[in-house]
Amino acid sequence: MSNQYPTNANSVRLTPSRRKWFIDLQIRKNERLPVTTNENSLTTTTVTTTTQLNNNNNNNLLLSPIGYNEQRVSDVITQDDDEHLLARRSWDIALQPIKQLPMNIVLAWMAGNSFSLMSIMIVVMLFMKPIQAIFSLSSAFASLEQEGLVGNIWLHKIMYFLGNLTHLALALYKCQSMGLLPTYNSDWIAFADQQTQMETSLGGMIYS
Amino acid sequence: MRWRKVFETNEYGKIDRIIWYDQESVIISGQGRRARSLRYADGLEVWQLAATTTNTNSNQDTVAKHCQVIKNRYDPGTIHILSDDLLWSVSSYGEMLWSIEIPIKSTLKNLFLLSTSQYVIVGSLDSNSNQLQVTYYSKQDGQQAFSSSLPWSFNAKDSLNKCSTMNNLILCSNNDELSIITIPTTTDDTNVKTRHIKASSKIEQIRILYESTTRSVILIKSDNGETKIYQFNKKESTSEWDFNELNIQMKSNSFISIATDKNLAGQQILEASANDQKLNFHVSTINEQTLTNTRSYSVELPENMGEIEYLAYSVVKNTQLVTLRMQDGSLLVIKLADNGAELILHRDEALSSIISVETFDLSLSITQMRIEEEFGGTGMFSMFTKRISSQVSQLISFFLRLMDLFTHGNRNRDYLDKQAALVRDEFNLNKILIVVTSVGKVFGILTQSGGILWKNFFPNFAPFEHFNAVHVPLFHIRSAAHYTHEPLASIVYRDRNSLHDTHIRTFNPYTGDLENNLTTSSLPYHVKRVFLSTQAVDEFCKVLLFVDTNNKIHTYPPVPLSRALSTTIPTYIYLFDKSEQAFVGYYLSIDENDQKTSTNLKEVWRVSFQNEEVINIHTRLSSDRVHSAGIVLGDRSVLYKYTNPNLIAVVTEGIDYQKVPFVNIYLLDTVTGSLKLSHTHKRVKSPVHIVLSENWIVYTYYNQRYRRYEAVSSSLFEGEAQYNYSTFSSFDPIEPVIQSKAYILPYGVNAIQVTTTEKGITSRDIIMATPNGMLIEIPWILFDPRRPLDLTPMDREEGLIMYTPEIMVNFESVINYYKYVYNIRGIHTVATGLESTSIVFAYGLDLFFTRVFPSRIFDQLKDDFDFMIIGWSTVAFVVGSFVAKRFASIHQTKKAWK
Repeated sequence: MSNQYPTNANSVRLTPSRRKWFIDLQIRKNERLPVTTNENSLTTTTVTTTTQLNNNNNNNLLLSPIGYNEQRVSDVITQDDDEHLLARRSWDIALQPIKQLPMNIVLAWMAGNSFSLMSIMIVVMLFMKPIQAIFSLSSAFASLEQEGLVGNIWLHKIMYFLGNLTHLALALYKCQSMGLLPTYNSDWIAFADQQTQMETSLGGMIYS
Repeated sequence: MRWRKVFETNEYGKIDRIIWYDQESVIISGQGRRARSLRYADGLEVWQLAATTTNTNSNQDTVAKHCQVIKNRYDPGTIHILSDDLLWSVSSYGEMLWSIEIPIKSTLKNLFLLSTSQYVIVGSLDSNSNQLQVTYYSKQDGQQAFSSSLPWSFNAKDSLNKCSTMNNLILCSNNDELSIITIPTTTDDTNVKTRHIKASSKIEQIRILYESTTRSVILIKSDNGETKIYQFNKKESTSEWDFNELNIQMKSNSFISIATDKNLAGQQILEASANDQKLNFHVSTINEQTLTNTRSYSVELPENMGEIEYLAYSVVKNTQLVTLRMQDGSLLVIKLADNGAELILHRDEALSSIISVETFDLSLSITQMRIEEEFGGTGMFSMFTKRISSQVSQLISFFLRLMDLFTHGNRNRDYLDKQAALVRDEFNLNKILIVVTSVGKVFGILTQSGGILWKNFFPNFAPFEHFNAVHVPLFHIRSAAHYTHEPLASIVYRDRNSLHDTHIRTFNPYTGDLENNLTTSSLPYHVKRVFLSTQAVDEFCKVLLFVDTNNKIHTYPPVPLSRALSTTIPTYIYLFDKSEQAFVGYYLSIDENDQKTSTNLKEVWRVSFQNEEVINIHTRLSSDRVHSAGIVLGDRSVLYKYTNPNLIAVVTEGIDYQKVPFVNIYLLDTVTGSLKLSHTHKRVKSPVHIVLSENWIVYTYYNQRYRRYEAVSSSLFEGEAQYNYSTFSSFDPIEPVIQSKAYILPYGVNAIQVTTTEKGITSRDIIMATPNGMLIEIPWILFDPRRPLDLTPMDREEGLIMYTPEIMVNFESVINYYKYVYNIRGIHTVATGLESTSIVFAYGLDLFFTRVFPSRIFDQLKDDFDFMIIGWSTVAFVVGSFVAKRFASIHQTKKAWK
């Protein structure tokens, strides 16, 4: 999902200044006609001027290859579209952990409740990923800020955080079902202190 | 030692008499019911004969049997045995010549057995008519020839104790008079002649020193210490004897033995007496009436061994050998030669009669002590200076030691080794065993070598009786935990001569030196029971608490009771009275400010047994630790243990109204007097061996119906919830849940014990000594009463094994391998510094010491752990990582240039 490429060429013609040329295969209707005639003229080698527009750039038409558009596309990022896009992307990032949750559930279920190298690795992974993600919360949204995101994204951050918490909850549930959580009395019995004695008794058989 | 033969532990192993021949000896045992012959050369049993008895009722066992064994003087290859009503003869080459049963009458008791060249004569006392019936049996086939009777003035008991037989004479002592009764040997002569010898005072003992067909020598000892020796000579062609007194001056405590040798003209008489650490011998040759050629010898003994108990003098190939058994159980062989006496053998046979064992930790080494000191100070500055100074001194001593090592080498290596043996090792595995033997000799034994470090003999020692065994209280007065003070141990015993007197001996377990301040022979009260105080008083010493016959409790040394016992926790005292068959519980209330050293006991409960006799009491080991308060079940819930430290196990025995013998086992709470468990086993025979530990009890008995040894294991649980998790009181209304299972043992049991570890984390093993000489280590989980009949996954989760009645013993679990130890009476287990390791010391006829690891070695590296490979691979990894780091940086630089 790279943001450098236009997602929809129809609506936005976003041409970064670095680009030297581009082929527009979907020209608007009014633009298509001269081009077709242009093509005809090329094939028939008879120049028939039909419209004023054609005449105006007649020289250019002859020079320009297929798909070349003389019209310069403005390099200005329209603020309105950008806002919209950034919002989508930030929501994408924010909701990404939640989207991954079903996959992790399946993974956890596949690992089983027995102790093996695989299941332990998966449990470790289940814990590590959300914790890492929480710690790198700011870096996850850093790219958005680079691109000049203005305004508040704290809601997204909270969503992202909560999404990772669901992952942690899944990991805890996995531990619980594997019996790794000290939730029973039996898990604490080794730490129980010895009972203090309230009486002492001494004695034995009488020596006759 | 060339060979040894261990006899049975039951009555068949009890030796009645040994008759010595040239190549082998005939041993009569089991009250004259067994005869066997052992060859001297290799110890092989050449033959064995059992008496053919038809009426072996169980009732007869209860009556004390009387047995007489004689060798026929006229036919030395024949031995006549009279065992109650059975008369039988065996020849020395293992043939049963004949065996007859003398018709029994309740009033008739067979007492004397005599032999002549033709007859075997039995003298039986008819208590109705006070007549001694003398019956003659043919020596060849045991046919009854004839009988006669003569008046008899003694009763049966006196006749046994005060009379002895010799050839055809019966010698009986009656106060200050010795009667010599001549029994006629042929049918034509029926005259019974009685003659008397007067002694100066009451005759204590008659001993026959020498006996042959023509001559005999007897010794008469009076209670005023006067000893006379008479020589008997047979008159020609009659059955009568002449006697004359031998002119010999004897000390009151001397022993006499007579040796004959074919090469010697006459008999040699040896008089021996012990005097402190010296043995004196006088050897003379007996002439007609006087002694000639008297020679004196004396030998210094290495230690005090008390009086002589047994003396045998023999002349083997012109070597005069004296064999002695001393009062302390030592076996001595002394060679008498022209250049003086020489001690050629000394064995401490007392070690086979150990009755009490305690273990002491060895002392800390000087460096360990310094470390202890290092952290001792108070206040920041003093602690700092202390640490610096102790570390400087450690450094100096290290350099000094290095210097010493270089300059002197191993000059005083032996001395250092001996010192090192007494220093505690890193894991406190080596200890010193203090063993008290029934003869009054105390030994200090080092566990690492089994060497005897010291021995002390207490001459007027008598142990206390404890049911059918003997017992000597042995206490840790001060343990080895206090490095500034030497540890102390105390034993308490009775006086041999006056059983009301109690002696206390306190000694240092490292050296055996007596601590005179804590040693006394005179307590102003008659002791009923002694135990150790729960609190240390002065200089970390605990005191002894005595209960006297007036139910008063005293401290020794006298200190206020409030210091010896805890004033916050009430103390209960229980005593078992054998005559009443009752346990009585007493409450001891101590006021904190009370300075009294003795106080009265208040009776609070009483448990008495009727129709059953208490045959043993078993308490748990004082070192018993319970680590975990409960058992984790398969569903991860907890089953809480009922660990009541006040429980004791009581074994009773009896016969019910159907005449079926039974054994009862009780667990008695000694604070409240309540019974927490009671089991009845019918048709079961004692001895019952018990292990009581944590919340469980395991005991073994012999099942008469199925003729096998069985073990019963019971556990007590509080249940799913604990009544009070922080404190335990016997008064808590807890009804313990009991689970029990019985198991069949593959062997008999001589002794049983459980392993002890420092914290009680390690699982428990049962150590069992079997009659065939094995010490078996069986994991307790095999005795677990929770072993299920059908195994559910939950049980499997818990680690339970399915119940099978037989306990399978793997031969790998025999901890003494082929070093079989016999007649083990007790097993002592001690914890070490390592949690995984427990020390096992088995004692009986043999001693055995080892270490066991009930849960394998989990806190130690294995013996085959390869330190080299680990060390070198660590070094290799460190070097490798540096090399790799260097390469990586070069690689990075190159990459950056691209």
